[in-house]
Amino acid sequence: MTDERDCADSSCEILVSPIPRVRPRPLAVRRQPARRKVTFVDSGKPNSDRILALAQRALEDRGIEVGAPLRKLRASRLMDDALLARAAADDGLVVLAVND
Amino acid sequence: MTTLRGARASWQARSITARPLAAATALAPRDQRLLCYPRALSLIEDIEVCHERGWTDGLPVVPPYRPLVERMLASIAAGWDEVLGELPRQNIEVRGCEIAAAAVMAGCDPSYGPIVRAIADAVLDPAFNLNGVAVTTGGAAILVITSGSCAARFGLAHGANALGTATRSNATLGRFAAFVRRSCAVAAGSAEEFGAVGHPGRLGFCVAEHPSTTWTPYHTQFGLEPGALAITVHASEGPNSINNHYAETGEQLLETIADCVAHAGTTNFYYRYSGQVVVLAPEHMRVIGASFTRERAREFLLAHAVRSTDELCRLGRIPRAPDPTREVRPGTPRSPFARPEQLTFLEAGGPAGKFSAVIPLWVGNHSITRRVAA
Repeated sequence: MTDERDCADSSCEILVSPIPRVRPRPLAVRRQPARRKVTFVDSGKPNSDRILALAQRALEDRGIEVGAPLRKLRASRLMDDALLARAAADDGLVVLAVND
Repeated sequence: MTTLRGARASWQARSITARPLAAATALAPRDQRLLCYPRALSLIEDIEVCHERGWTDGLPVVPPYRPLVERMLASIAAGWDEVLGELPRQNIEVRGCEIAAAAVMAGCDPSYGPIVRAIADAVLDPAFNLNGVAVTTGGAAILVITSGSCAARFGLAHGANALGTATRSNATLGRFAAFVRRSCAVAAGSAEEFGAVGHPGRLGFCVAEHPSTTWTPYHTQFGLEPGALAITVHASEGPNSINNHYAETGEQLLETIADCVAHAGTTNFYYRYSGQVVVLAPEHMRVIGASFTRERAREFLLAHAVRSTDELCRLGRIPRAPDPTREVRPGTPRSPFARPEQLTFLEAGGPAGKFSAVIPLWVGNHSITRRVAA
């Protein structure tokens, strides 16, 4: 990699970005669900039950299976590892951020 | 009058004649954090570059020139590529150079290094949940509270207008914390913020406690010894002012404060995870301190800052239906706090005026206290 200190042009100034870079790690992605099934992640917000019930009804009317919601206890926190593992193991489509 | 845009066009025309811009571009390092610009650009142009790249909060910044960043890096005792924190699940590592650049941009003096470092360490603590603070619909800001002899050492204002001073150290340290939120959690992460209304403290919110206090310093409420220099970071909503000019007893004042702590709209009635900071200015502190220890004042507020659960249900503030995570108990009084330590007291403000304030905290994280290197 070029060392920025090698930039010998005395007419240059260097600005340092304050924004960290994302360093992606290897991950496996299933490009489409293995079966026609949707699972919602419920953040427990006040309007959550109503939205999920309506969405579930709309999907079932179209013949799509809806799994039991994965429930986060706190909307503002990251999913814990166990819940994330359950979402990753789901063979349908997992839908996040369905409410607020 | 030559406009900035006109000046820039004029400069570009000259530079193309004198030295093709491509030549300067070719000298730019591959590391995309580093941008080379011809020195002929004015300071104003460099500030514009910062705006254009989305690095600012809308106000002008000190451009993070490498020599300034290196000087700040030394003052925070960090290495250029040293990882100071990581945002969980987002694969974002925050390094010394980025923290130092944020401090330079905020306008921090290098002599603030130890307190800048303590703020960075606290904000990047996973328990602070910086991602959540950035994206919440609650529109939280990062509130930095300094305590102990920080005010004297770093020139922090703690008297008049303590919650919004025009002093460089308060203004830039609060802005620095906000920059870390913006650059690490938003620019590198979520790309958007979603606060429904937010509040002005999101530009910067740094409050210093008086160096000499009636009760022990603020940080002792988080387990540090009285003699420590410390900062505490909270995610906060906007402050509410408390006015009481006629009270003659601590009970009268605390009852007034309790009414604000437990107003029907306070977020914490719903979640009860977080807390509130009661800011006592000297005139109120004198009256309360005459008859209350901090522990007794907390007990008094906990007893009085309650509302009827049934009323809160009627207003739609908490669920009517049984909900084990919300612990709704019909027919009982409801406190916005699940634990006494969620309520803390801060002594700050000007000597004249019978005012205090309550700062409600956001509900999705833990407050973090860190020592400031002596």
